[in-house]
Amino acid sequence: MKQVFIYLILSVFLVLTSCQKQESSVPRKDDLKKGNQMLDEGKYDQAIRFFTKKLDEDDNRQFRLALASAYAARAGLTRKDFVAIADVAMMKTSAPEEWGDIFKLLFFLQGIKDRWDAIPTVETAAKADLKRALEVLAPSDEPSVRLYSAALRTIYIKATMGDGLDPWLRLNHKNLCKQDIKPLLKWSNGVIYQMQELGYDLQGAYPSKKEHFGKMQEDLAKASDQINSWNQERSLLCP
Amino acid sequence: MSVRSFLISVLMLFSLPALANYPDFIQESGASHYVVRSLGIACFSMTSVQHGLPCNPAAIALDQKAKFDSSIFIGSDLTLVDMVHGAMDNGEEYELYKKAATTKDILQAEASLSTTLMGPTRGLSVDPYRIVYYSKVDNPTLPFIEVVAAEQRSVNFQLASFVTQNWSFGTQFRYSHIKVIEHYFAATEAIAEQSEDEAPPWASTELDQISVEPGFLYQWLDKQWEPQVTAAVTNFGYSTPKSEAFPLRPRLLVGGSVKPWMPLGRLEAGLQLQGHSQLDRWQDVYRIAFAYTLGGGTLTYSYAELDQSTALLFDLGNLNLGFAYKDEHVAQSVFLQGGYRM
Repeated sequence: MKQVFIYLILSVFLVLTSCQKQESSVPRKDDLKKGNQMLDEGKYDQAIRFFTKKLDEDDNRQFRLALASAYAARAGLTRKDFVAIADVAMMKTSAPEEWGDIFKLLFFLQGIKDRWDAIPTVETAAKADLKRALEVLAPSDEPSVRLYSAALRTIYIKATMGDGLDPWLRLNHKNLCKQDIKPLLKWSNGVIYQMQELGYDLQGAYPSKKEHFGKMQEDLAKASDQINSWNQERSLLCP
Repeated sequence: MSVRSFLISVLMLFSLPALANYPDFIQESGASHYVVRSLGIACFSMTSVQHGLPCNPAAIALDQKAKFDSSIFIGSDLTLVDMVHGAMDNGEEYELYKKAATTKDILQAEASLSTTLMGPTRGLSVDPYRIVYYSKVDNPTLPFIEVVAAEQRSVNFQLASFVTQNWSFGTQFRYSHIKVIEHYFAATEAIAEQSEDEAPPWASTELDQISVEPGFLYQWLDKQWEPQVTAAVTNFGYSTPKSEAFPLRPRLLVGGSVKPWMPLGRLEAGLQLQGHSQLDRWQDVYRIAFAYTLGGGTLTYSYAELDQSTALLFDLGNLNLGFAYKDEHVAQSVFLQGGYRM
């Protein structure tokens, strides 16, 4: 009798256990965890292949974010860099109202410098992976994707600025006509283009602030026009 | 049924496909009291430390006195408990997610209120409020957050009887209503503004669960060390809708304990084995535990491959106070319980 009873309990237990649904109730969670584990173990190439395949099969923002993060991880970015970018966005740039104009200006300039210093830097070789991550994120208009794109693009812009700023500073203004400034102009327009793209990212991430970021893009377009007109003036002045 | 075929049947469980597990504390028989937290699953095979309803319903047959227990239990980070409450009842999810994304990789918290009424061979426990929270952050670059936050209300009823003087069996019937947030999302999904076609990652689900959990206990009362063996099936029931965090996936528990003679006080040493469909490592099968009672104080220690816990409980007349410390390698937790017993 005892044996029959125990056997009955065990049989019901086994049947119920084998009938349980084995998939996660949270969509895509198992695949995302699997790929994220590869990243946590430093298997970046394997994770990139895995998430590329998953994104091909199921075009979803989570796989898109995960694939971009895999490129960012291979570029050497860490979670601390992500938090640093969030902190940059939270920094104050306006001085208290009671301050005088000159102090307000100094505060603003100091704020710009602090933000710039706080943006993580990456090795030049890592830029290719950052660019690839931005390309992965580009097709989606979803706010969470645009926000991640904004974070990565900010780091990319700083890396690009670093590449071209030194030749600008070494420019000899006395012999301006004899120098080839095409690479510098190309660099300037490249930076401005990336900053305009950053504006587009932020508009997508925060649709309610579209007007504010739209103004930023207008200012950048003006700056781009000024650079191009200056180049035309130089062509006239330098036969 | 032979021992061999029984063991083969148990081993069959381990060949079933496995998925990532949530920690046991989330579900653990729907209870959050000191005994469950300090002894873990070994509480099913040990009977010298009792608080609230016993883990193994067969053990309620051993206690012939009527009792009333009431306790409050708080575990880990109090600010997290407050944040979970805010997320559940006031829509303040952002603060919770920010904390999950920017602090330690694993965070967990727990709090509960419980009232238990026990008589000979039966007991009723009402847990009007239990909060559990667990989060884990994956991905080295962009935080992907796995989160389970739940508010649970449960009623447990245990009924037990003796087959012989040495052998008792019992059943626990449980009804739980659970409001649970259960998601896996990237940090940017929580921080960015939500568009119309981008669902927020904090929608909650309400579950209703009923379960029937039988248990057996055999004691050799005439032996000096009073050895006993136990078996129990937990999480055997029905849930609507289904949930990964509260899966009601049956678990078989087989164990035993002895009470070696001590010149002072009382010692109990227990071993518990478990089997369920999500076990994929043999190291997760066993847990050993010790409980030493001297006067009004009880010291416990339990060990499993991935965690160990130490706890101390003081009985001060009608009042009792318990501390438990759990080390899970990746996270450490402190639990505190205060109770009243009549």
